[in-house]
Amino acid sequence: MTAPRLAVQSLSFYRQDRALVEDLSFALEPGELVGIIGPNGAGKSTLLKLLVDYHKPSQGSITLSGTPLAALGHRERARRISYMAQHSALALPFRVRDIIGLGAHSRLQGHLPTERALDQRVTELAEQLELTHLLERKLTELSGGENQLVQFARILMQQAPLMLLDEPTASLDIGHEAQLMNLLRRQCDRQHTALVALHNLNIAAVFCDRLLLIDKGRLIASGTPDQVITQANMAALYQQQVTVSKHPVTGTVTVLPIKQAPRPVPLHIHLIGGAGSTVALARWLLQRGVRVSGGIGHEQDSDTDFWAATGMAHSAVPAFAPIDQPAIEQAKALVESADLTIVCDFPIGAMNEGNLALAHYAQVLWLLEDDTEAAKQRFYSDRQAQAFAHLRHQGQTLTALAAIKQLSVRIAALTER
Amino acid sequence: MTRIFRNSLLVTLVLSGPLLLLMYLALGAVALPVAELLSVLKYALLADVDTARELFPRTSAILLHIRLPRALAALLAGSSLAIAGAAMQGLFRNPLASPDILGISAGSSLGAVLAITTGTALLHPLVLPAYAIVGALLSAALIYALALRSGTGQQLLFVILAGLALSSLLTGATSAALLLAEQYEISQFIFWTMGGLEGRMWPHVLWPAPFLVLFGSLLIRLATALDLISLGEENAHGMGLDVEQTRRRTLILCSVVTALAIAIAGPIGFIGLMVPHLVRILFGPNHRLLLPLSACLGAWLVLAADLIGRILIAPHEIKVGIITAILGGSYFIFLIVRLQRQGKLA
Repeated sequence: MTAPRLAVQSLSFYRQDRALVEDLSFALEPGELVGIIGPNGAGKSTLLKLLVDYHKPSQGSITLSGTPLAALGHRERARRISYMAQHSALALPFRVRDIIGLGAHSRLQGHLPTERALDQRVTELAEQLELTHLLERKLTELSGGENQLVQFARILMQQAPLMLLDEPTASLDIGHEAQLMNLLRRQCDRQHTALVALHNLNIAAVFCDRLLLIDKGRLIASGTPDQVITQANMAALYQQQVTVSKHPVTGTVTVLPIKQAPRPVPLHIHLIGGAGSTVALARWLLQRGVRVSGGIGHEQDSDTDFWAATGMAHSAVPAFAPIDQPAIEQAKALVESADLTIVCDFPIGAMNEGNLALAHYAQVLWLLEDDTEAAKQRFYSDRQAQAFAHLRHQGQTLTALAAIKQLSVRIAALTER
Repeated sequence: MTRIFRNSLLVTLVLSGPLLLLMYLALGAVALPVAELLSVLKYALLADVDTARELFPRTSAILLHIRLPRALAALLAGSSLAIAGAAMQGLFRNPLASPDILGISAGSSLGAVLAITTGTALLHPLVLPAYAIVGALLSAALIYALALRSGTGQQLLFVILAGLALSSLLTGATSAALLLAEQYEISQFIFWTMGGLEGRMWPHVLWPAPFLVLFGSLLIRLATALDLISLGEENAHGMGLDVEQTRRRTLILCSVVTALAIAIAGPIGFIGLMVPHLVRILFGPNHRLLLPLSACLGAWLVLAADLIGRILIAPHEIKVGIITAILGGSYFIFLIVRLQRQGKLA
């Protein structure tokens, strides 16, 4: 087996006794596009600067295809790694064409490509990036976004197999952001490797093969975007200010900010339901800071997906499996500990009738029922209808609207305290 | 600006030099006939100075002993200060950096003055320039240390502020040293604070010339490195440049070149600031062109300034430093007005 293109072993970097990077280990293979994500000040930029040998590590090792990074000369390193810093100086009015050409610096010694060949390559690159109209302009006249694209063109000019980019899309509009990431993707399809610090998590989820989640210099999680961008991880890092879900069109994980972070309300509500019946109410409650749990659902059901995506405590059984006694035993604790359990309006058959048994454990039970006529068709057999009728004695039956009204009053009272 | 215009401007600039030199040699308190002047130069170039002396005794005397060394001093000092300024501006990525503003000039003036006041300058002709170089290097080291201390974002601002402060401090020290010195003369004072070319003889000029040519060429060899560093040190590092080495080399070379120029002609102001700036506006910031052209234009400019100083109120002279200060000051006022009109800082 050949050595990975980049291997990092127990890498640490201290400055004035403060650990900026601590005990990081990971490896990158050819063809991979890997994102580094994490909150501001997590150590993303510092890590990239260590990997390009701009900072010297305090501990640990960095190897490139088996060769220690520190053993490489400046030029040799630049032939293997290109690096795009977060900021680039803008004070002197260089022409865009010259700047992109500078990217070839490390390749220029020895077999020197002619001035003409270099110019040709710059022109080609500019066409690819749709920068042709900027080539004769001065760097100082460009907008922040244009400048970033020019710097990216310079990196591509360097043709190094490993590319390190620090927030390359920070001041790009969404169109150019996608353009740049697609170009990077294409480079990786040609067996280049890219490690990119990104603050836009959605971009990271869409384009990266793998993500490294870093906080306070430590590796918190690594894996596919689905494995790394979870509600639990995001909630821990971004103080519950974001919500994670799957995008219905692209199928990638999506992170959205939550408008005004709810202050947690000391209220635990358990929702029982299926076929999407709990989603609206669960979202409504979560947005108000109520602790919500759910179950028992079926895996791949829209309710269960929502509970998982939002990081709610929940229990579920495999798709098309009945809710049996062991599952009820497992879910019992959630229901018993809830201040209120709500059975939503959903069709009940043999597969999920166990939920009615579960509802018996509720401290306080609400049964949502919006249309008494339609309610007759909720049950596939009399057995379930009887079980439900039995529950009516234990709990209170009300419409969803009435439930929301009562809950509003209760949450308001709890919030004021 | 079109390429043709730029190229013709380039040719004009380079070619106007010899013409200017001829004017410089011919004009002055005593005007020399151009035909005689050319003959003397021809004989001198053929290493037949005796014939020239015989044929044109007056022209030969003035030309060979006064004007030629003085012209050479002007050319050397002008090109050195301008090239050092251009390199410093590239290194600090700031068009306001220069040996003057960063205190390197003041450091080397103080060194030279200390050599005079302590009397060590009399021991050997190389003592004074050595003091000047040490003074320049010490100031450069101080600025360098300060540049490394501050964070990347504010580095430049701190360097410029520190340079200004250091510059005032050292200029003050130079004045004090001169005032306390027994050999104190007002002309010395003006020479070491303002620069001048009067009384520059062959011994003043000949020994630093090869060093200046050598170090100047070494600076020009750093052109690509300076291009890279203008993108920021992190990016330059990423492109395979040894940033630390470039920084060290540039600062040392600039300090030495500045110190030698000052040993020849005193700290002639504004050349290091104004000339690269002008060249950048005309020909762009590419250092491979900027450094040699700055050297060229700096040489012509000091020559022209001294010519003006010599003929304006002849037989009295205005010191070259005064002329360049007036030129430089006016240039910057013009620049500020222009930038205000464009609404930006280029």
